Amino acid sequence: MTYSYINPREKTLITSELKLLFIFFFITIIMLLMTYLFLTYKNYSFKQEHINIEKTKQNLTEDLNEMNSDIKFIEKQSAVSKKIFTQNTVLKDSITNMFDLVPERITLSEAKLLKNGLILYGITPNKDVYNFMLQAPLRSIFHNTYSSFYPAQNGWLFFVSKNYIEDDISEDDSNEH
Amino acid sequence: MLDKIGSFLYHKVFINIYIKDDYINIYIEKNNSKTLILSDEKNFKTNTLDENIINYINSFTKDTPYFYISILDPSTTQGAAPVCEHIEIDKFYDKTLSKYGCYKDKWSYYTSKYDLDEVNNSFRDLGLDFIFSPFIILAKFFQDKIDSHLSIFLLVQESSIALSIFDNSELLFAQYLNLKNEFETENFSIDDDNNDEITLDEIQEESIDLDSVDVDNTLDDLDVFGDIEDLDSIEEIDEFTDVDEELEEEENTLNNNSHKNHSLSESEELFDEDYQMFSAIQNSIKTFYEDERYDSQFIESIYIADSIGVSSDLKSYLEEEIFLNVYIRQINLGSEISKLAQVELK
Repeated sequence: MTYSYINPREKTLITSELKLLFIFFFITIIMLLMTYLFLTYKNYSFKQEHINIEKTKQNLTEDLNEMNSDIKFIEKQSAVSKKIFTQNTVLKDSITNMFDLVPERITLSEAKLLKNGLILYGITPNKDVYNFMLQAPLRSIFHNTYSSFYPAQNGWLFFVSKNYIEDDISEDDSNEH
Repeated sequence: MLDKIGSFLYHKVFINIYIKDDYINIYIEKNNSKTLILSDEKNFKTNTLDENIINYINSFTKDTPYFYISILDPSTTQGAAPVCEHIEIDKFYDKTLSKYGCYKDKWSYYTSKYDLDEVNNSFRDLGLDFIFSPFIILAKFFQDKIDSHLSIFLLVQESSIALSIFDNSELLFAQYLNLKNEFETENFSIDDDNNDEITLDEIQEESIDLDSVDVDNTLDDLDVFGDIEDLDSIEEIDEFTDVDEELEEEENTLNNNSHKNHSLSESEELFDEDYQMFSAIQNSIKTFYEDERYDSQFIESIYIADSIGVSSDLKSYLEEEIFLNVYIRQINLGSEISKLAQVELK
């Protein structure tokens, strides 16, 4: 039922001041919500990052352990190589020394280096040259020295000289005859 | 939902405005959901909405968002017609230029759109919620009589009368009488009885202000005599002494007449107001009987909703001149507007 020429203006509980207040609260709540969401996201992100870092750390630890074991292995290898190198050096020196021992008048045809000994094959003009010029130094090095001769066609003598370190004498003996 | 909470938290304030000749009446009611808490009424001697009125109204409305400002339509081009159908309305008023509404689908009330805009515009600082037609106030105020009587019903305001004729709640005739214009029309028609068919607009355009002719012209004449006396005193001609004496006598006579005129004018004014109202009503009834558009019936009684305190003269005019039984009921327009506004909100 309306007898008025105009319609009444809409009345609302929300006055302009209240509207302003509500807008302010709304913006504040939105900002808080956004901050909450941002922090939640960041928290989640940090957790994920933490998990990733933990995984990386674990991987790195594993890698480190692996590398340590590798280092140990390499160190061992290095030690072994050094040992071999040293042995080779020693061997080389021994060989050099050995060849230094051989006088010019004796000619070697074959030399066998054993773990605990040395077997030389060669030709000598005579037994004396061999005894004095080669056997004497060999005896100073090795504990046991055994020599055998057989004649060559030109009157010289082929010789086989077997020299052993003491531990393996019995073995060498058994090998010799 | 929000409104229910609001009406529980806040009071409703009804501000009811009606514009009188030289002042604006503000009637304020503050209501609880059911009961009246406070009512206040104040007149402001101004014709326009000023700061005092706004401050006065704001003192009641500042505490609640639920306030409703109602005004009684002050338009001079308003009225009511005994029809409600769109096709028939054109017989009584131009609906393209009018804003109108139907009362219980029986009759319609209308006002000028231009005047409505003007009212809205002049109250734009305050804002308006309801604009009511005086015919609605009248119909509501005399609801008990309208439903069961064949009678004339008047709402008398200071410078206007809303006149309606109801026959058992059927509107037969209605007219909004602007007393200023009616008065001018009446004076004109007294002079020339043959001008019955001249329309109101034509009369307004051609009318002569007889009030000013009666008194002011006499005073103007006196001024002319005064000038003659001045001329005489400058020239000091002895031969004219007799003429001076004659003139003095004439002046005295005229002065006495003007005093008499002045003392008469107040009583004349009162007489004019009552007679003006009476003649406006009489003309209106004449129109009702003569206009073929209206279903004329013989009227024996008249009910007056009196908002200004009409004199017994008007009553006696109506009783003696047109043999009507006159019943006068006092009306507080502010309160009635407020009631209507409250009904609108239900």
